[in-house]
Amino acid sequence: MHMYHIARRELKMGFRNPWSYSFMALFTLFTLALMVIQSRSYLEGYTYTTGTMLTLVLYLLPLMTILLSSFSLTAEKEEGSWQLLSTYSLTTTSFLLGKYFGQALVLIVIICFGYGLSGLVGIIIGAGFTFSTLLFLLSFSICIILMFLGIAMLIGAMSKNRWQALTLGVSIWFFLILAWPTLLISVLSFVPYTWIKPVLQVVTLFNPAEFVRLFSVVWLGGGSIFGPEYYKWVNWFDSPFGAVGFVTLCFIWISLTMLAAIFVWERKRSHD
Amino acid sequence: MILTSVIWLCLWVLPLSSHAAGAPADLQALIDKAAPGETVTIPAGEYAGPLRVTKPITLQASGEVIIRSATDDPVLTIESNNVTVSGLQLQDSRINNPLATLVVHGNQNVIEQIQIDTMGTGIQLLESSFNQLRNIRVTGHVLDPSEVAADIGHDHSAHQQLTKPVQQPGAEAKKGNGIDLRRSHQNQIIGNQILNLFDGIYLESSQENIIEQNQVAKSRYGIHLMGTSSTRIANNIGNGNVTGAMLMDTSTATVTNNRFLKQKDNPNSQGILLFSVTDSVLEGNHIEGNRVGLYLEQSTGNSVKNNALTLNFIGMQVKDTADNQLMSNQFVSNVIQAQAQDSKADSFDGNYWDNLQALDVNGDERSDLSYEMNPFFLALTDAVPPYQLFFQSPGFVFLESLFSVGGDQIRDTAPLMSPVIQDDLEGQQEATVGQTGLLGAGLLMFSFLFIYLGVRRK
Repeated sequence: MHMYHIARRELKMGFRNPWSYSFMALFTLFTLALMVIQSRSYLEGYTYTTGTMLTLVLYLLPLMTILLSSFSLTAEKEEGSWQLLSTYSLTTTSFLLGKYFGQALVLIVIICFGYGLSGLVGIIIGAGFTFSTLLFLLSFSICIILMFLGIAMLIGAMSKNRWQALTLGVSIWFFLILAWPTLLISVLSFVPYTWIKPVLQVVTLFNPAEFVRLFSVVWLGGGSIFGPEYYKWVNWFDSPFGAVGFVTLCFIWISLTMLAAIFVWERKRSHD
Repeated sequence: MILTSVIWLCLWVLPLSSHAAGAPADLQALIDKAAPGETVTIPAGEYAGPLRVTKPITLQASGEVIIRSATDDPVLTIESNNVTVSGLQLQDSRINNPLATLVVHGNQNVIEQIQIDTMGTGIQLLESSFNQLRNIRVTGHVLDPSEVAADIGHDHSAHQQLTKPVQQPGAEAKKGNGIDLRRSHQNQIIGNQILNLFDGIYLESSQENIIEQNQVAKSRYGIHLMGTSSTRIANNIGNGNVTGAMLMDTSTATVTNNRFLKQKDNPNSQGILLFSVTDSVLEGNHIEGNRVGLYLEQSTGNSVKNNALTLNFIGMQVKDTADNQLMSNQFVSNVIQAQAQDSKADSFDGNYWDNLQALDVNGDERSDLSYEMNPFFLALTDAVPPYQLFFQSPGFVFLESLFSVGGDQIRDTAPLMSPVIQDDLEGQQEATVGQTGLLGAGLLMFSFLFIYLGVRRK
């Protein structure tokens, strides 16, 4: 019950936060721009447009999620509302889960606005996303949001204020999104050749942006592009077992990051 | 006593001959009896092979004639010149036999309207020239392990064991080629349909053959040339094979107006692959929805013009090539349009790239900004194939762009401003406009509702 109230409160605060609207404007603008650039757009399957959209979403959404949500947590500490809330019989778990679900809804509403507008504008200008592409991008984005929201909650729990959250959040974003292949390629040049593939497979499980992207490309029918090295993997991903495995993996990821966030928050609470 | 045995014999033979619709049971005797130049009409019915034709006769079916394999020999062997065979259905259940269902060893034969169902190779031409193969349908009946796995439900361990014998108890049947030519020259292979074999049409050490209007689907390579010269490949369609056309150690081939679609499911798939090919022409081909549209390696002196490469994961990969000319090709909506490595001596000028932010200052219909083909992914995955996992990873796109600043990469210095070839894909998205609109409106309403709920004061 507490969780529900926290989530509702989060929704209210989320939409009174000007940052939400600036991110909404940014996301909508980029989606529209990318769609309009595709003058000759037949967009079914894994094509230039879907590839570029995936890249855009992977650049923007994790950063958006991390910043909005970790700030929302640190704001509670900085503005003293947590000190007030903690005097009630409110458990850390229901507080953070409430925050999680509230923030998830805010972010999903933001991307729904962007995709909704793009869908309608696409029809008006006569070149836009097809139904299945729009639905695919929406599910992909929601998946990314839910994964990075767990990370954002952990960052928010660890940081004392917005500045700490910003520094930590941007570094993690840079590490997982931008620097990932570069770092892996340079580190893996020190391990024996035969280790590269297994190491790469294992560490990919620790980067939600990568495994969500891989699963999405396989789902679009583009799994063969990753080459013979991953043939069995891709085949497995493509089967019903793969879908179940993927959902399980996502669930484990969210649970682990949330458990860590709750642990950190709880420790700070007992210190206060 | 003798009388009864004659009656018994009659009783035993009669049902057989009536089963063959009144035809003489021994087809081979009929063929042997015919004089050269004569036409043998085979009455409708089912017969047992093998048959052997050793003189120039015409073999013609009247109605449905089915000939089945009964021994280890090919169902039909032609060892003569000027034989015409038409209208037969050959059914072959031999497994892993080096000889095909129909073997031709001779020149100037005409084989047409034949339907072949085989567990191995369909037709073999051995040192045979000037033959015509027309309107033949070859269907392979060896199932892929994955298909068998699909039949028995999704057992995910079956995916792991791609080499597991699954066919019959005992020997595992291997697919053969649809039409197989060895050291055979100037044959015409026209209007045939080939389904589910190893290589659809395979040519080895053969010259000046013509391959036109054939369709190959669900096979390994649609058309496979090994060490051939002056082969003409035109107006063929390859759909859903591992590779549409594979040309190796080949010179002066002409590949025009073919369509290679959806060669994408296998991690080694390509639309057209050229390896060690010289002085050949690729023109007007439509290469759509493949893993890699066009792959060129160690090839020189080829001309690649007016091809449409559309919706492939990678439009074109070029590696270790020289003196090829690629122009007026159209690269549209490929995830990666082109990658080139060690191909500086090629000319890539004057193609159309739909994702180029083109700028034409002097109005010559050519962009003054060039299109660059990044070699980084090719070079990296060549050294360490597992890095293919980074294909289009946002961080990798970033890394690539770091490496593409300046440098002397391979580029198209005069890209076309507008596409040269009109294709017929425009209608594709019309169908879902209503649904997309509904979804868009729904999403907007959903977001407005929650924003209102959030902002509203009680």
